[in-house]
Amino acid sequence: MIKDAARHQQESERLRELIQEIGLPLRNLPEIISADHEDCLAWWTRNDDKIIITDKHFSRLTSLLGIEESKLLQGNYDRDLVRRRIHGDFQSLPERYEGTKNSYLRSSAHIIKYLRLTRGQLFTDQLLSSLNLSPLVYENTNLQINLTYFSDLLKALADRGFSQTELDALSSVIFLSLQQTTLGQKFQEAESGSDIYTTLARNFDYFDTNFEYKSSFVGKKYFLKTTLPLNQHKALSENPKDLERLLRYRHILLAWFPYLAGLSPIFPKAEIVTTSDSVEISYEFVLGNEAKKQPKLVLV
Amino acid sequence: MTPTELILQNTTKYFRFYFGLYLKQKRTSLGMNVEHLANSINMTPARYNRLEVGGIKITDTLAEKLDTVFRFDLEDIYELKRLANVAQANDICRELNINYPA
Repeated sequence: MIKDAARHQQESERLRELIQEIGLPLRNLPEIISADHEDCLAWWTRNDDKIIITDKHFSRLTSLLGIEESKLLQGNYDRDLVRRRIHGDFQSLPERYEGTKNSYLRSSAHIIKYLRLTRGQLFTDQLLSSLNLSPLVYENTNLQINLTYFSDLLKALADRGFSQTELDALSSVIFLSLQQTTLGQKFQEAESGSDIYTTLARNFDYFDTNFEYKSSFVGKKYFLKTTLPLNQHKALSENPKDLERLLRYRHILLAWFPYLAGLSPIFPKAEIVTTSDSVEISYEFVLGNEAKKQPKLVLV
Repeated sequence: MTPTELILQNTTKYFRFYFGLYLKQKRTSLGMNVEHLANSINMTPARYNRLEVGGIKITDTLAEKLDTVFRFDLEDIYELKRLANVAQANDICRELNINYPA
């Protein structure tokens, strides 16, 4: 009992120190303490010890700030980033995702929607915080970010026990976010695989400009060559496994665009050539004859 | 159509998997532990645990009891159904399509 009281006292002090250290305005205390303003102030001024500080309070603080919990507790976090977050800038990115921002958050919005649906808001918030992103960052899906973020996001999910089967499923559910958009509408109107990939070829820049894209249609085939300059993506070039995970994700993602029009996925043949400064992937899609109103593999 | 009717229409293991994940996230967001939840729907905790990993067929009585606790959102159940369909199709492609990544 005495031991417990001492531990609670210690945690209470640690939380006060942390709040002071980051300069959190006291008006934010109710969000962290989960009590009314008067009780919070009583706790802050040490006039009342009825509030027991637990791990939950620290988790709320990290979630509010969008900063990885261990970094916050150890004190090795980016203080400027924390300050920006405290003052309401939820779009500020950590340095890791700042360079070569050629992607948009909208390209991964379906993953976030999937996570909220299957793992809940808290899991999703904690995941984003572990990547030093604000849990509110997806409120602006037009925000630009670099490719390392996508790789880190997939890695973070794999580290949290997502099976390869489920990671593959994530590549297949872009409809969760795209179907409500103008571009999603264009895909829905497509009548065949050829229409789908023509629309995609015209709109690659909606998703990202990290890769150089070269498209051509020859007979019933669609050829797509994508080239990623690795010198602009150091984190990826240094981690072949992360790059491999990302390329697998993109391969399956490309196959599932026809589903937006109610058609079966088309898995392309893929050939990867990696050099010291780039990775080039050549895809070959056999478009076949499937058109709308024909039997579909997937019934919605 | 009600959420429970939609749940009962979907009996694949894929749907049960996603529905199980959904139940778990709903339960934890309500701050309920397995024992508490299982007790409220007259089920053993072990059986409820199996439900959350997709190991139990959902009957109409069970769906209704769960709906009483969780108040399912029709749109959520519809999205789960689509996720399940896509996951199933992906599994078929993995088995049959030579271009599926190794």
